[in-house]
Amino acid sequence: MTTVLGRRVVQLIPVLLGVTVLSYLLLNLLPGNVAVTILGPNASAQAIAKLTREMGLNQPVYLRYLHWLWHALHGNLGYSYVTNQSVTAAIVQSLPVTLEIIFSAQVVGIICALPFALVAARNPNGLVDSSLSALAYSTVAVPRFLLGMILILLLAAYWHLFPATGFTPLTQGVVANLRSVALPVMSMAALEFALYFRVLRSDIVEQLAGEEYVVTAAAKGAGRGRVLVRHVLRNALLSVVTVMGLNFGPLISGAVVIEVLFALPGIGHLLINSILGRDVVMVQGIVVFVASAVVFINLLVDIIYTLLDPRIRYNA
Amino acid sequence: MPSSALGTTAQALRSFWRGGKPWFWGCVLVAIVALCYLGPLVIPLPAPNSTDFLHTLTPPLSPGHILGTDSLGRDLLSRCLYGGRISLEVGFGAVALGLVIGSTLGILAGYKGRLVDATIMRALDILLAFPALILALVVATYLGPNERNIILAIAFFTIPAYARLARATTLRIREMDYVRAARMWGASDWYVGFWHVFPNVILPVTTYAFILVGVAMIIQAALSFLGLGVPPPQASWGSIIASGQGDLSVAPYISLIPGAFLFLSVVALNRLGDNLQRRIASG
Repeated sequence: MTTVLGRRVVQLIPVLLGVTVLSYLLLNLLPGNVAVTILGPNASAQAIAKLTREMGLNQPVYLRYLHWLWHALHGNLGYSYVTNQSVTAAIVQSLPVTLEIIFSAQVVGIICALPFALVAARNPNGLVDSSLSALAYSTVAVPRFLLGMILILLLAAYWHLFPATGFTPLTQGVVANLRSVALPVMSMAALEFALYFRVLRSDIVEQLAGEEYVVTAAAKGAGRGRVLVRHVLRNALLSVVTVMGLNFGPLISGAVVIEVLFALPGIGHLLINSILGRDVVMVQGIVVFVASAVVFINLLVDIIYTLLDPRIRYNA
Repeated sequence: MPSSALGTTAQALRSFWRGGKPWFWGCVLVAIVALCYLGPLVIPLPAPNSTDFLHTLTPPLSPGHILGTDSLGRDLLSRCLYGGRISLEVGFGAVALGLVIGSTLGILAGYKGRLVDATIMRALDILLAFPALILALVVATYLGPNERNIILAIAFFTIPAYARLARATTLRIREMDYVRAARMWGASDWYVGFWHVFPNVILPVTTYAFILVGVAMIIQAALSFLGLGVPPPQASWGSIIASGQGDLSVAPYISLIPGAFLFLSVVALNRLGDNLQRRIASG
């Protein structure tokens, strides 16, 4: 197992380097001067020259990249000349909001998907299964922001159950915090529900139909519930973990849209504001941070996977 | 309800979603495309961007405006049809571009193996680390938001998916007897690639395209919502949905109608793609 892990970590390094090179070049090899982009077309020649010097833009791009990478490795992703803020500080400040809605959406999605998947798998292709599958397939075809708008319309505008937009930090009360994230989490969890329902349902159906340990357990006299919980669900956990890992990127994409719709001060909102404000340094920092997080989470999933299923250690 | 009726309903539902009716969803898709491209030629419609401040927020089914008007008095049906063109073009365009680039890379990686394979696949791993929407956002912003650049930006996320699919298929085909035979009698890489590998890769790759077009259309809608889609007043389904945000409580139909167009197209694409894939898998 250590060798498998070691190989995965070694493979990680070129990918991470590539991620930094790509994000850096994407934003720095663009036609035109980054200083002009930041300061706008009406800036004076002196101001542009000053910022060019300060940002080291008169140096060759590979030197700038190495310089930036050196600082990035020490946790310093640069300094925003638009908001006068350290990029790392801005990310650290907005990260908890994003993590809260992503994490809650995953948990709500899985918890809701599980009982429905079990019910659907009891009678594959029956009425319940077909209806639930149809529902899951339809949910995937609705953009998250449209779903969010419908929820705002129903639960905030008509019935005043939850605030339509805005965020109350956890420090100002748990209930207020949960109320403020309820609609965003629901908008995101719907898609997670559809995703996990499909994965769990097909996994459970497949196991119940053919796996030998299911037959053995049943033959030894284990009740249906015991077989489901002790044997089938335990193995279905593997696919859930895989999907959770693959799902992190799409969830971040979803969080960008949802944070803008609900005016939550998360990392997605920060990204969009930085893009609209032409804050190159900030955009670059966020993109590198998110892409690296995706890479690390995939590694983490591989590790968890190896721990959950001992067979993988020998096959890898 | 007697159990037999229940069974029939279940069967009908099942065949509706899974079963052997790809033509149904194919027809839905063709109908939407025809409506967007031919509709404005047949139905007398106001121009999609012409404002009429005397008839703002007209509800649907009003005379002259079947689907109503938005807060600037623009005809919603006209905007949905013209906007649909943009959404469909971006969806199909981005996936077509990704299909060509990704499959070429995948075939190359699978056929050449070794260093070429490792280099291409590691490079694509890097691309995979960027969440689709974030990649599209950054690329679209810096290329400048117009239809062509948005197609380019969205195409990026489909490249790794296609490369993996094409590579896996190529690896399988490469070991087939007819490919070995062709190589034995001295066929060049290009000959084998074009006459043996390509025809086998093209089928799974095109059926996968239907599902990806749906995803691309959703991403494009998200870009529009974030204000980085095609520049206004040009519409796409996503931007019309987003434009209704301000009037959501008084005129929800402004968002819901283009939403329904988008929903129906994506469902049709998904069902069609799923169905074709299942057919290929079962031989």
